[in-house]
Amino acid sequence: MTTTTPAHRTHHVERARSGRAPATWGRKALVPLAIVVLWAVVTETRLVAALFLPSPSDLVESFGDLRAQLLPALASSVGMTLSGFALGAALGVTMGLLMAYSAIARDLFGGILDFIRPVPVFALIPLFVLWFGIGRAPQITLIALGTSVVLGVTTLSAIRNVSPVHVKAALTLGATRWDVYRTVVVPSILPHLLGSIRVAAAASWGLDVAAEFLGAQSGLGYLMINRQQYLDTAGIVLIVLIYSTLALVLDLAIRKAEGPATRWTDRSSATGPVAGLLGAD
Amino acid sequence: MPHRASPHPTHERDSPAALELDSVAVEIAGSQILHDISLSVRTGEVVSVVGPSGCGKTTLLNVVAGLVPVSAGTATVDSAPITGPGPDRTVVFQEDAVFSWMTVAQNVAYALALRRTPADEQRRTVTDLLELVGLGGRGAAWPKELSGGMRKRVDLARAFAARPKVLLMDEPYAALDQMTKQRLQQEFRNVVLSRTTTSMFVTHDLEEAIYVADRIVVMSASPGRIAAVHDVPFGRDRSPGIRTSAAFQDLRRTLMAAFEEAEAA
Repeated sequence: MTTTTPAHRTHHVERARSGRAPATWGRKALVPLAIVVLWAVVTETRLVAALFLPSPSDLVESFGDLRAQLLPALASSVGMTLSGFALGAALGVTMGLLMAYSAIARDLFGGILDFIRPVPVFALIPLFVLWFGIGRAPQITLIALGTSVVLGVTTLSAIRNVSPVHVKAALTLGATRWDVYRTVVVPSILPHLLGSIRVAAAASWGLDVAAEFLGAQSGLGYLMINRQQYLDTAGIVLIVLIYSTLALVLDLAIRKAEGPATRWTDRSSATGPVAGLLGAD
Repeated sequence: MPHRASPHPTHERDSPAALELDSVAVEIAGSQILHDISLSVRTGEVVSVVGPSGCGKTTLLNVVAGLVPVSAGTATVDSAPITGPGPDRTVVFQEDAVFSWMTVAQNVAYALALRRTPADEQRRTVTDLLELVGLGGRGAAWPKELSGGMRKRVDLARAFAARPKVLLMDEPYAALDQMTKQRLQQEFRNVVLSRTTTSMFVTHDLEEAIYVADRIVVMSASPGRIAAVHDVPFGRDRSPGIRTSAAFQDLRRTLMAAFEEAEAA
């Protein structure tokens, strides 16, 4: 056995990484910065018509105009998306966990889940409007449905991938079925699950936009359609940027929460094991 | 097959049988995997099981672990029939079975935590066992920071911490390099001798079988059955030097012949 302890090795890697940090940041900022500069140049000089692509100053102006409407719209969209996402995530994960634990739950929900999974949720919007009318209910239901199906399926498949030798080891060490579930199944699927939750969170903003396009009377998506009717491209771009920021903030929040749960995995570092292998300059 | 008394003082000649297999047969999906296995392992005895691949040695270990039910015959530990897995028969598997989401200390304490052993007693046991397997002070480490050999040590400490009546070793060191393997075999001996422990050690490595065991069972295949039983002529303490001794090499040759015969059968 080698005498180099892995602890030392990690230390070296960490040092190498932090030593490289400033250069990496500069490199990472380069492309976005270039895009912003290019955008400012072609729009401020009116090389591209404001109707197609508004300039940064158009956006600032538009923000001033829309300020009164933006805040309530923002509050409405964030409320919808978060409640739909939370409801769907809770439902989906619970369903997945239940199906993994009991054959009865698997028989009850497994078939229906497999049936619903390939249906594009967006295709259900007209039906939802018909069933639930226009308003909050269809919007939240749509987001919750989209989120829960994705998470139900991924939870179940994550559980199917739990290593049998870990389960056997736990059983021979005196674990009951519930103990195995609590101490082996749930912790070992957690990193995978958190990854899927991030994907579902990102998707739920998309579902919110779609729902508001087609039948809401409030929210950022509704405001966007409204701006489209006035040919206010600056307003539309502004709202797109707000949606991006919201999605980014939610993603960051989930990643923050992910940290302690995935400390034990190889991929707990930002780059992951594969990037670490392939990323050598 | 009636067991032969070992002429060596590694354990009392008349100490009671900890593990008793009587005419055990296992049939899986219509094919006979084990046929008429009778074996009794005395308290404190280490028995290794060798044989060609497919001879059912791992199935035999799984019967004792309670992971495979018997189709006929009886299997008992301290006279109680084996009905399922339990912490009186812990296993070190060939695959890496360390829980990577727990620290080394949490892994070793696993069986104790399930039993709600008091925290300070858990801590004492963990410290002692990690010291014993050469991982002293590494309790807070994550398994991902350990080498393959170190993870096997965690596995052994975890299985031993449960205070099993029979410790089951299922080709635990098959994937390791020779040097690491020899060191771990020595540590296995140390662990087993630190407290009276009965053990069944399945391996396909004859040298390993001789080094770790008091008695060796040679199995043959289709269906899996006991072909021969040999006593190991070494006492409790085994310096690495015995590996090159004449007695060791003689036994190795005998086993090799038995092994080949079993394979041909």
